[in-house]
Amino acid sequence: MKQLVVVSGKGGTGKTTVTAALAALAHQPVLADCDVDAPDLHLLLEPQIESREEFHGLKVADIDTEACVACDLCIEACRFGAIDENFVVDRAACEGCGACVLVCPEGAARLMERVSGEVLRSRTRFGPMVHAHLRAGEEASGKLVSAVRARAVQAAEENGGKLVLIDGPPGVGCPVIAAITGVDMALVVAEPTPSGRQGLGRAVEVAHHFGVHTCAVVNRADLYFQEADAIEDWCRERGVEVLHRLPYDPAATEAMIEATTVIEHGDGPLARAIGNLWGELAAIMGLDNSE
Amino acid sequence: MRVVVASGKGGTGKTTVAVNLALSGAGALLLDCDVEEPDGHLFVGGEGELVEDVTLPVARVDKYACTLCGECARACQYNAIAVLPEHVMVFDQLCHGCGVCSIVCPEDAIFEEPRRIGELRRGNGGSVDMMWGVLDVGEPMATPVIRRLKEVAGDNGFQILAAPPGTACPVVETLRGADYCVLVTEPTPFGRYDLSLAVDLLEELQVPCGIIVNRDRDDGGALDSYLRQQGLEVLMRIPDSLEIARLYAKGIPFTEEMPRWRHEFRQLFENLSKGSLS
Amino acid sequence: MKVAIPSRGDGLSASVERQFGRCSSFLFVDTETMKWKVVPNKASDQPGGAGIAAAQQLIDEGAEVVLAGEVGLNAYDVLSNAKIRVYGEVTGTVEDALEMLESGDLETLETRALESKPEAKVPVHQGTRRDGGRGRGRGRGRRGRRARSRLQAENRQEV
Repeated sequence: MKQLVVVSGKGGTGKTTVTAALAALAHQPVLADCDVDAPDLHLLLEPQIESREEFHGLKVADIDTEACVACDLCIEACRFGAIDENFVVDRAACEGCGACVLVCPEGAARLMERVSGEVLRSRTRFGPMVHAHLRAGEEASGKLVSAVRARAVQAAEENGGKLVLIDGPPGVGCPVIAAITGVDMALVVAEPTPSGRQGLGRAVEVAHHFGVHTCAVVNRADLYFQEADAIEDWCRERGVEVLHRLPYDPAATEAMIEATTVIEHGDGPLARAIGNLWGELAAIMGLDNSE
Repeated sequence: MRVVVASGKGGTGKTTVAVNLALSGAGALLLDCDVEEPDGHLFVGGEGELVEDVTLPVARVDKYACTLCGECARACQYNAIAVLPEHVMVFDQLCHGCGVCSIVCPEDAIFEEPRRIGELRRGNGGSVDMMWGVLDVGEPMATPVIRRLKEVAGDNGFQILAAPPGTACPVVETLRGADYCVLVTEPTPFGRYDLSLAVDLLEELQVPCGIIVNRDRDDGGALDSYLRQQGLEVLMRIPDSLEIARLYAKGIPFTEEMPRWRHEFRQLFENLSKGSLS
Repeated sequence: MKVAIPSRGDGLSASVERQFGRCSSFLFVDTETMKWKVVPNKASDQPGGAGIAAAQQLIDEGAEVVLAGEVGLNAYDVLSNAKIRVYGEVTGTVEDALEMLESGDLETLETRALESKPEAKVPVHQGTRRDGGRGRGRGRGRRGRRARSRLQAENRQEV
């Protein structure tokens, strides 16, 4: 069983479109939407939800104002400025460390579990899918990403799935780190603009930092050839194989509107290019490409 | 006055809007809070210069005072400490710098050291002063860099903050203390869905907002009916234009080359800086 | 010796679980007496650092050897620093795993790391950098390691 994560560094380069298309091409995939802050994969795969599991993020402090004697020790101990002058805890700033609990002489402060969201296990037309909802403003998205991945691996083991396809988050921080550690390959979707090139660079850096084999693909490459060339040169210098250039194709948006993948939508230039891309990915990862 | 430019979905044009907005008026400070992928400086500020290293305090154990009692490992909510038969290991990147371990240590054997996690840089271009944060690759926590960027920027003047994509803790940190939020969206199913997540977040945080529709095209009214339903004000519509896209690909803020847009953004700048939209 | 195996279920027929840090429980076996006990993994629901917390639990329980499927970098760091021998790529039941250990069919993760191709990254773990370094150590080229061990396993069968 192999794991492939699709990342981009910068948002909006086409990660989800590509991931969904690969899902349509792969044999027995399990899907994992690890872009838990802004999950979009479900808009194309129409999952039927089979189970929901509450997700507990970081704990949060709570101060019992009746027991509180306003000694200010908690405010002084809090490194995150999460307790205001009325001893009310700011849930967004609190990191659940427990310093206030330790210093409070009256036992008025305690740490509580909080439900930050839920992990969903679903069925799609291509295979099982694990995704999540993170409540607005909640923290610990890295932990949620890990939970989604663990359930996806479990689903693959239970169903004999050969490939876990992970729609990764943008950026390089803890959600991305949680999405890429221990995968067999990271595919970076780059966009040929200065911003896209920086995003590619950072994504490759984080993947290499964690020892993950990385390949790239340049999306909408025909819009700005010069940048696409520059990106390929950059990748070559760093031993990152650029597997393909994907063309700009309005079919991407059309398919999105119809809630399908570009592969199912038709046989346009993007669908064909992703088909070739899949062939190369399957070969590199030693997967069955007979589907 | 703090205006945050955000969007649920990445790639909708946050940076484009924030940069062009800042350039359209005088005296704004542009803060790029997308410290994982700061790209504002590619348009304004270039390489810039280092302002400071951003550090987090990280726990260190004085092995001569330590009795290997294990209290620190038990108290740490992040599992950043492991107490082994002969020594203690600290996992820097898991350490939140909360100080709990040093509070519980019965031997006073734990002290703290600053550890670099990123940096702040500054630059300028045109009429704009710009400051941005960069999170070191391999570091998991963006939020402390954003916090420090805002601290150094201070509370005065008119500040435009470009937020990271999504709705998680780095975005929340960017929005803390904001007077208004400009949400940038695009008329596609992904754009609409992610916008709804961002709108929920802003309601939760009680920050008023207005919408800019970027890459506007006819989507059969789907986006507009959502906006109407939510009672959201549309501040501007930027069409799906090849010329704008080309300028972006060249790293040129399009208001510099397209006078009509310079005018539109100027209007918006005036309204925002006077607080007439909040 | 005291062996710990991430697993689900009771006794020697319990199945080995692949991921170390978030496994449901550990089966401890004393290979001299063959007495066993199941210890629930307190780290399975933890936020980051599950591997570290699980490793800490094994240290506290006095484990000397770990037979696991996959072990993360941080967990491996803790276990190896505590001088616990860690064997990876273990599958099947607890009984299978113990047999493989007996017959010398398993390789410790350390041996694998040393035998990896030179291009595979050198293990420099964040956890050991107590000098407050940037933690820019590189990961371990896991693909190279696994491919190589599979090759070695095949070779061994032919012998």
